Amino acid sequence: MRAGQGVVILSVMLLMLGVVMVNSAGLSVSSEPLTLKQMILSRPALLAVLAIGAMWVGSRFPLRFLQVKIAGLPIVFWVIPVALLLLLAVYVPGIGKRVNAANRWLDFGGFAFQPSEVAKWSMIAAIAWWGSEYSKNMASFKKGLLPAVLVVGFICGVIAAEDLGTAVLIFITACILLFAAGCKTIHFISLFPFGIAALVGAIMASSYRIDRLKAFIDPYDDPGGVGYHILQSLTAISSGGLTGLGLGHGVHKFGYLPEDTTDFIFSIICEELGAAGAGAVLCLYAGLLVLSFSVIRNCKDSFLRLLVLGIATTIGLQASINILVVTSLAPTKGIALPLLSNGGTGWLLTAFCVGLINAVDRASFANTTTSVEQWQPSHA
Amino acid sequence: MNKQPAMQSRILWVMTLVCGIVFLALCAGFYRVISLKIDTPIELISVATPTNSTIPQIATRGSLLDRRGRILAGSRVGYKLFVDPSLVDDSEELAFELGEKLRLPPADIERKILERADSKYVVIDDLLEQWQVDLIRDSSYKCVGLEPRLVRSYPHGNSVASLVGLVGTEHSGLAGLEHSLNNSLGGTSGTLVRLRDIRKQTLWVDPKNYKPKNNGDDVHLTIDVVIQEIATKHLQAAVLHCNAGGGRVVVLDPKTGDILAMTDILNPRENWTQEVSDPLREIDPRLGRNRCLTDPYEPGSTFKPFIWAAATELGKVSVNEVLPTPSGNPYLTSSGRTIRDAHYYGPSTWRKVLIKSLNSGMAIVAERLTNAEMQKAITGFGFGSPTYLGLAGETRGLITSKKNWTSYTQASVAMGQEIGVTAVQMAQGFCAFARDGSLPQLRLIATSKNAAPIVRQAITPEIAKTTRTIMGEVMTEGTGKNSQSDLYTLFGKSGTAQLPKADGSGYFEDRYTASFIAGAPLDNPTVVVICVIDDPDRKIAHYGGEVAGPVVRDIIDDTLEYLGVPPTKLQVANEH
Repeated sequence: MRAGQGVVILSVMLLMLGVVMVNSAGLSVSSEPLTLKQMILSRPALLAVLAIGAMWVGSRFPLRFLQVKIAGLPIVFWVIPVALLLLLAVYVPGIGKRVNAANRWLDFGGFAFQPSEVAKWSMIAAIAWWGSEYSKNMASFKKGLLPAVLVVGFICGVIAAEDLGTAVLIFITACILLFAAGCKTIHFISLFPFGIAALVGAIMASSYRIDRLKAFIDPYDDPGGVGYHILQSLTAISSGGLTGLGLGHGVHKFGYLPEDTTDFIFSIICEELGAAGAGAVLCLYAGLLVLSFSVIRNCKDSFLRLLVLGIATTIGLQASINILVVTSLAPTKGIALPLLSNGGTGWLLTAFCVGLINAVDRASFANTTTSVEQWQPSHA
Repeated sequence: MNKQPAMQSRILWVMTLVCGIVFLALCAGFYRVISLKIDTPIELISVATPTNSTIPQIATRGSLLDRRGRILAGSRVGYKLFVDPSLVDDSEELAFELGEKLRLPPADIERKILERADSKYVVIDDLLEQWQVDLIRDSSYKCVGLEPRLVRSYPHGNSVASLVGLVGTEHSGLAGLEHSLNNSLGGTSGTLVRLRDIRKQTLWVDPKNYKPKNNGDDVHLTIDVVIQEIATKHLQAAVLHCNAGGGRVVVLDPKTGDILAMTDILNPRENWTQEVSDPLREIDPRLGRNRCLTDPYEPGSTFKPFIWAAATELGKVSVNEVLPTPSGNPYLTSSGRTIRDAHYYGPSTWRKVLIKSLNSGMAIVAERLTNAEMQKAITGFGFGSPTYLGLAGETRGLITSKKNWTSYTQASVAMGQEIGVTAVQMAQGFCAFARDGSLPQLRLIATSKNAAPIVRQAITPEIAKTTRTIMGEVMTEGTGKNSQSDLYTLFGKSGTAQLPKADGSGYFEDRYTASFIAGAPLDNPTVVVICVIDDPDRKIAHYGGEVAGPVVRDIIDDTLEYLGVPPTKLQVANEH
């Protein structure tokens, strides 16, 4: 079995667990009994089916298409302005949707998604193209690093206004990709003060971010206020002991723990499935990363390598940050657990990108066995 | 092109770094999960929002019911109103709102909250009315709560007060039957632990966390509230009419031994010495002692039938034997004691001695009995032993000890003096005449519909019937004339005993205990009633036949009518 197939299998397992846990966490008390139809046709189940479809599409995706040039620049470049337009569209009355006091959503007649999700994956493809296309310039600060950092910084600045967590995640992933593409360490270090200043500025600019920081430093200071969310998460994790309360038997999902189906689903997994469930989730992510590493090793193309690195890093970092947040090892960020937390576009796009990892692996496998190079982009 | 392999290896190196960082973060997260699960920090436990709540399952106390199932004492769940001052933002506003809503003084509410502002529980009202409870339930105060509590109500008030007694704040019996039947009436409360969501809606209840309540048992008494009220009404009227210090009545069914009514009234009078007193009753009528079985009194002539029957049965005298009772002067006993009669009829038959209540006749026959025979006769009718009714404080009465028993005692006891009995002892002893000479076990608790067991056979059925017949003549020719009923043929005996002084220095010359005991109908006795009037005002009336007799008659008339017993006298008249 190829590593790419392994990545897909692990992702499907995460999706399946996600469907079960999102349904469990979404349980509510009702006088009407749940029908079989309602259970089978639940929103998470349908989305998971769509996500698996997206994963299949990703696996079969003609990778050459990513570098098809329009007006002298490849498609992966053009997704940047599109993403930027979408990011700005959240402020347009009528299509922008305000949720939890933040403009993070676009709503096109019932089809709602977060443009930051689109930007997240677009940036990976664009930086991977930049890193591979101008690999010779990467050692140069002016020609290699600066243009990319400026674009990424601008996009992240736009996202940070509404969603600092995702902006930080995109920025870190982009930096890792640029570093992998050959940027000099000294250049990176010289950028650190700007990055930290931007982060501190973004935090100071918003009172709720300061509260989250306070809650992280001492949640017991205001257990009913800013510390409530994280304390509920810790209580949920600690309850049920090592074996857990059993699937569906958790209590904190009944209003005690906010965001229980999305960002804080890991706490519900710990409560219901115990240490075994938590360990399994962590192993699935770790396995996904190890297999992605294997895909990168087998791949000979720099763009595709950087692309897989970007996707794997995003999934790995997102999972790490989420788990550190819910266990109060990091301050609260609005970052979901990839493929597990309830999400629409999040699931579809992540699944599609996981499919791309498989597509890269398929291509590498086909390349080494049949020496067919027709898929390879011209620069290689 | 040589740049390519360098970049390839750099990507792998970076991927290794990313994997390392992510693994480290995941391991840190996992370690944190395990440590939280194994050793939950105490501060986390202390701030955790409770996900379950314990609901007390209050067990209700059993009801005390009369013989027809009417409630004499019953429990219901009521609610007290409390406030959690720690959740109150503005006590003045809350007090005003609550006061307006529940029609309670706002100033009181605010004072109560402010007095204990640092506590979490302040009771505002001990017992709300149902409309107030409904209003609070419909409101959305977070700081106001309702706490269930048991409420005991006594729908028949003072007429059964001393018998039923009362419960304390913890709902356990303090006095009367509430006290003596506490074990049966009292229930065991349970608890129900429910898991709830954040909006406090119940999610589920673990069967392991449910301890069901055990309601107390209802107890059926032999008392009939209607008869109790009849007895109370007539006794009350008589006590007030003759300005007596108090009065007692016991009504019982001689066939079963069931006490149908038992009432005890006190009438404190100003400027009277040696008044009957009951300090507890002044605090609460339900706390008072039940004098029908706690306070002995001298029965006087009402005691004569017992000695009369015993002497006749022993063959010491025959019914129609003429005794040398005096014609004008008091009788002198062999020991030289002077015995006075109210009227002097000259030599009279043993039958007439009872009908006319001749002390001399009783003294003559008493001298024919040995001390032991007299003592055995007394104890045979149950005197000197408690009736074991099951109420606290029952006395066995006062009987002179064998050692101190003299010929003086012998004559006194035959006239109902120098002996202390209770009203229930008298009623029980009198049942021997209303039945076949046997004494039934008296009962207050209706354990079964069957007749109560027999304590002992006091006299033979023949003697019982003879005595009863002659007591029927007491009502027509003797001291019971004034108490004759127009409806039923009664048999009974009056008694007027001098009131002994509390310091033991003899008797008051002008103060008495007037009593009357009777049963009816003569041919098929269904009810026995005794009435004792304590210390009636001599200026108004003081003879048992005058003061207590009409009470007994009225109670018998009303009771038999209520029980559906056809009037025997009208029957006779109709037959003719």
